[in-house]
Amino acid sequence: MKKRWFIMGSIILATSMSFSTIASVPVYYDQQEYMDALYDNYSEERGIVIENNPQLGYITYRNGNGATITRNYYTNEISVEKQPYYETEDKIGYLDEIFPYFKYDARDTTIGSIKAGDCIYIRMDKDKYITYISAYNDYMMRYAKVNTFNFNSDDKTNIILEDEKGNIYSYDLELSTPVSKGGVPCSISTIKPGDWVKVLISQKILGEGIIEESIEEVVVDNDTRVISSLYKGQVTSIDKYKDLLNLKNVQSLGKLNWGKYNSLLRLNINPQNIKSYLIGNQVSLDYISRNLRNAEGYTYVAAENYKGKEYAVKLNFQSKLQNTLQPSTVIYASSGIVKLLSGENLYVAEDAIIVRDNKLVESHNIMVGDVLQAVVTGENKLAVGKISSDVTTASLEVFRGRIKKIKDSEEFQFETFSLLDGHQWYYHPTPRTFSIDLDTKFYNESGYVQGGIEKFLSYGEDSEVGNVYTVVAVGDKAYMVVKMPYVTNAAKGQVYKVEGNSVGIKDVYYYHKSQKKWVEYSKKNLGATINLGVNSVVIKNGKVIPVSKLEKGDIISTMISTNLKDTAGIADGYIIVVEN
Amino acid sequence: MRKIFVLGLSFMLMTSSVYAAEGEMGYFGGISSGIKLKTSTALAQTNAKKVSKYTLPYKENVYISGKAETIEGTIEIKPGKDMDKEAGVGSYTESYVMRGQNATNTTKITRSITFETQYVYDATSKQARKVSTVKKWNETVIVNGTTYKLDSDKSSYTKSILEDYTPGVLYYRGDVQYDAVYASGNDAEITVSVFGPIYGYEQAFAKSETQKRTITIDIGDGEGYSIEETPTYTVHRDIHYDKNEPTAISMSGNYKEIIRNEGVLSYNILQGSPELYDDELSGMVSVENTPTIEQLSVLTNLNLQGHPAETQIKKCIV
Repeated sequence: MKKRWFIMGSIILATSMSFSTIASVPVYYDQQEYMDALYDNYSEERGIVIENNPQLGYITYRNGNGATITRNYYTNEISVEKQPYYETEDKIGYLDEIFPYFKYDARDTTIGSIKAGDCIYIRMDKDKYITYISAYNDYMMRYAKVNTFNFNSDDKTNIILEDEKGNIYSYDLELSTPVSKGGVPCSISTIKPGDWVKVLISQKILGEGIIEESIEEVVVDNDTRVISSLYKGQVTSIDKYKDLLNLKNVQSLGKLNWGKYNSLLRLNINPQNIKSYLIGNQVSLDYISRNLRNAEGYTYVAAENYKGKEYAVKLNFQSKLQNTLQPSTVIYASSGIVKLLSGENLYVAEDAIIVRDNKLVESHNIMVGDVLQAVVTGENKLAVGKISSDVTTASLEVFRGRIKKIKDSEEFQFETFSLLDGHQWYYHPTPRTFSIDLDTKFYNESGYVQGGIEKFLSYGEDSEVGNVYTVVAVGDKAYMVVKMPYVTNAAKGQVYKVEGNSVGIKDVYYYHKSQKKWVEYSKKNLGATINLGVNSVVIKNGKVIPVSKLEKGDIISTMISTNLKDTAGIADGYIIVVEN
Repeated sequence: MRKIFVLGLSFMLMTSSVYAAEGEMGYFGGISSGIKLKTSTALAQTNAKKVSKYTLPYKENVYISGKAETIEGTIEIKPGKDMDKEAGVGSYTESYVMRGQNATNTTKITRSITFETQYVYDATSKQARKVSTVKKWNETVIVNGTTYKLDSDKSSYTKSILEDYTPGVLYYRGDVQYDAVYASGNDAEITVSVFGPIYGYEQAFAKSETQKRTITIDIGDGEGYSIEETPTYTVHRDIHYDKNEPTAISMSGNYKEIIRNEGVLSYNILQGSPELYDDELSGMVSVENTPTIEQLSVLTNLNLQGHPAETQIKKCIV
């Protein structure tokens, strides 16, 4: 009787053991597995994966002796662990295989993640079936500049990088690759040609001399190496002890033409990285020191802001003949030739300094539709090309409305709103809701309101319900909430002077409300002065900027408090949009 | 004779790195240009006195107001006595004094900190472990008229470093964590918490150190700022050739050695004062020092002109 119970009990125990609830890791060994472990029937090996086929259940790898081996495994039963690149250490080790362990192990994964080129450590049972695989990858870092970045039709993109030594690397980048900039994760479209990036590469060595690389993560430099200025001048000397380039008669390229003269400009140089060209041919720094000092022609310099100083990165020596063209749209661009809407044909070679979005780019980055400000030498060769972005307001929109209700610290609603389009307010008789958060900036007549979001309430003695506000929003998110007067007069002009909070404009036109057209303000081009208050909004290139960032040559459209004719050319400006 | 002289000189250069290389920028996120490497002429002197105090140009960013205020001044470093590798254990005192103000004189810093550092040096693995504890820490920060004085009872500091002496190069890695609690007079308390690694190396021809700091500033009432910054400095020897112009001279040209040093700080404000515009959130600051130029002897009995490897051979021998 007892023996029968004993047999029944052990059969029940044995059968219940085989229905293990955790498919990948056996909680307890059964008799067979225990005997195998006791008599060391498990064997181990290391190798590099050549091919893995989970559907058919086999893996081919090259082991330490160089032999190519194929082994089978049961796809449902194999236990796989792979160290992700972001894990600094394996905190659990082998404990979760030997003992019951139910906490999250970042290393646990499935057989599908084992790919060709992975380095593996395998454990096999006595039939040489693989029961356990542990894999890792070798990672390395590269720091390089993005040469081209193309989105293809499906979900792969192609990126070509050039490092500081001139080596070119080409990779296919998955859309799901983590990209970050300035410590903040961002989308893959943030990567632009000319950006300096750090990429984490996993190298898979598939054979002698056959190395496959793929990018695991991209960190985009936080706008550290941007072209801050383009200069024209003459070289006086190169100080090779302090690595400085001394220039005389220097002008900086502004929006429309070259600016004020400086008699001395000292730029840092990095002798390893600087590229210098003399009428199309590359020359060395020693050649410049000897033959091009104080020479007759012009030196065009692209200066990069790096480490808080300006570094000259590309020099272009040309003859004294130069013509600065007005910004014009490119209608045709192919290797070597660019045609502009204004009729010029420009010849572009390796020596041309081309800047797009404040980054130095190659000549093939000029595209049809770009607005190009070109400086050409004799024979219409492009010496300097600045591609300005046609972004004016981008996704920023300016609304004005009366507040109907506010949900504390979350959102508020306008009963009806007006949307500013150019110089007109267009009325929409529908409500509009905007969301607000800690990043939303609140302004009133006295300026910035500290802790504005807490003071923006719909109850109490400072209730904002019924008050009229102007909102600068991106989609439905309020970027700025400003209390400013209702301004309906509009003026357009070109900035020629910025002094503190007042802007001098010339070529001024004002909008005549009854005639419904733009009228020239002054035949003598007296110009107008626009005064900005602490609650004024200036928008340039899709961003809100402080007044100090307005520069000479900016063409602005502004909403002002009074008609220019009534106040002799001086008006308070509240909303300014830079249009070029 | 010449060969022995040249060999002896290069040997001296190899063993030139003697004292603790860490901390030439201080450990508070400031940058200095680093202590210059000695010229080979200086290294060849037999009765050189050991310098016990170094004064270097210094810059640091103060984030207490939510904006990056760059102060400029000096840092005085007393690195303490060298590690006694024979004894294998010991301790020394290192102290740092930083002083500086910003361009408009609205932000000022005065800081003095003294560490007692104990070490263990293992002669078999050639690695040293160092642990530092604070003996004295006084600090006063003035930002826009408000004076913040460090409360040294509430503040804490821990620093430890592992050095690996490989042939020719010293590598080290350390970790720093500190909480600096400031009292601002009217019962307000500000806590600046910083943690991060220190990486560096030192060899006869170059040395460099980088710290990556994650800063959290708690100004009370649920308000605070968050910043990441990376201070780094590099000192290196550059070598280049110069021809001589006069025809009546014994040598056609010789190599010069230029010792340059520079410190760079790059910062990124993740959560700062809400008034900051987008382009004020990150930036770079640098400290430079004037280079030291040294002439290197020329070997006049080599006949290598025109040989494709002429430059490399000459540089090796020099």
